[in-house]
Amino acid sequence: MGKTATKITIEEIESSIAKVKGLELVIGKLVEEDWEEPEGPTPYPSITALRSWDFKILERYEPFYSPLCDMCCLCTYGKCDLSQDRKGACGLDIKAQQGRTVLLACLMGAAAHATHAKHMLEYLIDRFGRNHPISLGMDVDVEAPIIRTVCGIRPKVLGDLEEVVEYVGDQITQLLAATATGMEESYLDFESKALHAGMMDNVSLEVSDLAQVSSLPYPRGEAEAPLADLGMGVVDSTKPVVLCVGHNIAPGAEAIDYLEAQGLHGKVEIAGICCTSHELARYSRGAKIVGPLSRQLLFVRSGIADVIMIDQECIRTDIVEQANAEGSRVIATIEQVCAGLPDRTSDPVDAIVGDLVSRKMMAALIKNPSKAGEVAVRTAVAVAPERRAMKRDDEQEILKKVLLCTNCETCRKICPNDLAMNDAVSAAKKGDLSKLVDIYDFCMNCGRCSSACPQQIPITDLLRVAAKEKIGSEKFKIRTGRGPILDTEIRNVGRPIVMGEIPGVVAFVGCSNYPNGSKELVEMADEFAKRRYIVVASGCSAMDIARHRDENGQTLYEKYPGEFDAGCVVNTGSCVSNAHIIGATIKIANIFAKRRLRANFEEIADYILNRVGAVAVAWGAQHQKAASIATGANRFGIPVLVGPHGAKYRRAYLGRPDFREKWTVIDARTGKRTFVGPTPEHLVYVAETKEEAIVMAAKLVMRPNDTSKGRMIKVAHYVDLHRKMYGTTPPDLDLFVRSETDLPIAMKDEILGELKAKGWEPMEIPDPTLLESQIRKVQ
Amino acid sequence: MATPWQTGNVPGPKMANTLPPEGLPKLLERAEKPLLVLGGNSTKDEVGDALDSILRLAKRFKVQIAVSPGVYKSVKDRSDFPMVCIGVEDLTNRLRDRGWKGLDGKGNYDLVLFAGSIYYFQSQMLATLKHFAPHLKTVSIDRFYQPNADFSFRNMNEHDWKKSLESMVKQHG
Repeated sequence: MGKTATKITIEEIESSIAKVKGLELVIGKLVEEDWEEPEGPTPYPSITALRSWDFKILERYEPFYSPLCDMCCLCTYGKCDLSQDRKGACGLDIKAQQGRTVLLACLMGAAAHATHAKHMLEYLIDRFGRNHPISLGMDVDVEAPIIRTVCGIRPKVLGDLEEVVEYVGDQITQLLAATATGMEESYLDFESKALHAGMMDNVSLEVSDLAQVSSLPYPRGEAEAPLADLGMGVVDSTKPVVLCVGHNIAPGAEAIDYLEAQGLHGKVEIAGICCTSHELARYSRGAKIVGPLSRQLLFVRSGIADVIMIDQECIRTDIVEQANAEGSRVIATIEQVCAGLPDRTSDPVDAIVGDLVSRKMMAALIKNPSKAGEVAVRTAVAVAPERRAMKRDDEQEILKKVLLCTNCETCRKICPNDLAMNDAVSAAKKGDLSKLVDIYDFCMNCGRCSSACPQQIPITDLLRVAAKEKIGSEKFKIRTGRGPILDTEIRNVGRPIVMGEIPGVVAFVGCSNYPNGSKELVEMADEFAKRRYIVVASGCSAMDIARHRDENGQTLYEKYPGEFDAGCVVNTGSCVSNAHIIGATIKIANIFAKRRLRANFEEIADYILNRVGAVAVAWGAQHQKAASIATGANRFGIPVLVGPHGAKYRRAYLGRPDFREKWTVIDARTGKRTFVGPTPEHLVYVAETKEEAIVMAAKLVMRPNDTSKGRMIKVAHYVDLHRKMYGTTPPDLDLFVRSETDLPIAMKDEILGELKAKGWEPMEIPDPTLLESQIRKVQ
Repeated sequence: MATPWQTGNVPGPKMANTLPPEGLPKLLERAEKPLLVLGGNSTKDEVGDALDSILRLAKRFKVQIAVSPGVYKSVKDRSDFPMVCIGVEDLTNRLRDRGWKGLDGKGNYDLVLFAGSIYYFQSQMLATLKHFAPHLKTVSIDRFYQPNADFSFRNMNEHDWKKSLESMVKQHG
């Protein structure tokens, strides 16, 4: 059970001392009296409350498992080999073990976001008080669409979010219990629980961003949020440099505040890597974004940062070693990442700064963000002159190490992207650095090659030295994360999205583990923006979209407007701002279609699945958080496409378009089952190539509710992209064309002939739902 | 036992039997309904150079061909042999269904050859078939050992791999 309350209603009672009429007592939580929406069926749903919805979608989109490992090593009966239909000693088979592993991954992600939410809330309540109002600005009335829909509350002040965080923590604990040996056994129930974990993740995202946008001077949905500097070359290394790595704004914000309080604004560079950098840019116009996760090792090894503050998530777990090797000091700031460091939280600032500057210690744990921020700035200012004066790593020494290469291919065999690093190093041995420079664009900088090289060649450093000019010239503009989608924007686009006249919302989300470098991501986003889809981006993807310019020297953020509208490119912000992307689909149901949100999950998810043509593309998904965000989106009815590395998540949710019986919905007007074609065809799909992802995304935005005009536009893009990418007309148009009016006029005669030859027959356009409860009662 | 090309990709005790290239024609001759799956890297680099040999072998042994959509256009330009454009994950999902009608509507396959996919992606698709498609045998004919296949070429250098494909074509083409 989630956060529960006891509700006592007394219609009329008369005693010797009083007569009471219409009394309602609720013990345990606040009940909002002025919310006109009646409470829906699932406030604070338990881990099984939405199981029937899950089973509906899992029946259509069956889990497709690709085990990454055939073994289970989680108890002392093991290792258990689960191949060849064997069961483990506990009785689990390989299918259930995959479901269990997926659940564990989603729980890791959800727990990371839940902890983030908790930290943010505690920090902001500490700074602004429990009664600080929740507000995303004048143009946002539906401030917390996910929390309203899932929890059934409408938070008004920061303190209202505490019970949400408490509820999420309780659910995650219960779900984690189900993964212990001798607990859950069915793969479908593991999946239902993973969907619940994903939903908890989405709730946590919203808590974090809602709290910080309400409290800090962030953009509040402004389409023209300021442009910020992004790239490996944007940091002015003549100044002291504080680098923040992770996701939590608190220590970085405190560093910025300290600088301003001391009149040092502009005299110290505050830069970030990964989502913390989005937050810093949202917080302060002077903050620099170095780039996504994939730039971390490279930048840390560059030694440019005088002090590195780490907070939470996506931090290299050898960052202290890597940073200290370059003389950079490190401050860990969060309990989840203590990094083996001495806890100096209670010590005076002067003492900590003194020890860091004198090298008595090179890294410290300071769990107080305010103190950490001050220590970071003062230490950076103190050590920068000495570090600048130091002769930094001798580039010639690094280059000389290539002479040790025996071309054993270990670097290639260890590379996640199978990059021919051995060829590049061998060429460098002959004095040709061009292959290393070329490989830089495709390398995700995980550092496995350096770690594995039997000759101890520092390959990552070698790349950095070889591509020095290229790296230094990386200076781009990104539109600062704007946060929420405005209610006014939803009013404008709700109808055309639901009717299909805006062909779809394509959200580029997730990490930077791309199969072929980040340029493909930009090409995909550009393709959809110029076709007037609504393009949205967040997290590392939002940063990578800024890392390439077109022929006019513009990034996509400079080329397209930042509104939530057709033909625009929106950066919502860090990965917690994914809440606004999911939230926008919910707000369409609420603001445009007047569906009630309050504790009304199933109806809203059913609405999104059947009517809102949105798809997420997580082309470089790598982290467990990407798995949990995506799984939460799936429960809301939003399909997710991942790149080829996504196959290592072990599970997709695939539809079978050739199983006609799977593609019926209930017509809410009549209660009749109606065939609607595979719309959307999959809930999670792994595309092998950019081309496949583009065409699949164009297909996955089709919904049963599309009007003929809307479907015609979607079919036109699908056909055009299919022809452009594959050179052929789609062979499955008979599944998506419901009537002749769905056909683009220019293609009508040609396609209609092909359809008729296949025996195609027109289909009805129902008022689609998967829920019996949505059938309208006929008087 | 061979070592997976990506050395960390060890799934467990059950790994592919190594197949010397010269053993491939025998497998193909015995197969009742073979399928070749050409992945998204089929036209790139070394696979691109060897693609003609692979296509000629497929033609010789009447192997149906499925091509990953991203390279379908360019693969099709290189052969007059019929081929079907289908996403490899979608195809794998259908292959694991014993009752699937196949690309030709005449039933599922008994032998599935993989070539030209991104290594780790192919490994994952083969893992699905290894665990959930006991009705078919899988063979990786890339130059990289794929542990999740039933049979795989061992890790080979580019020259030897191309040469062995060419000699098969010469012998059987």
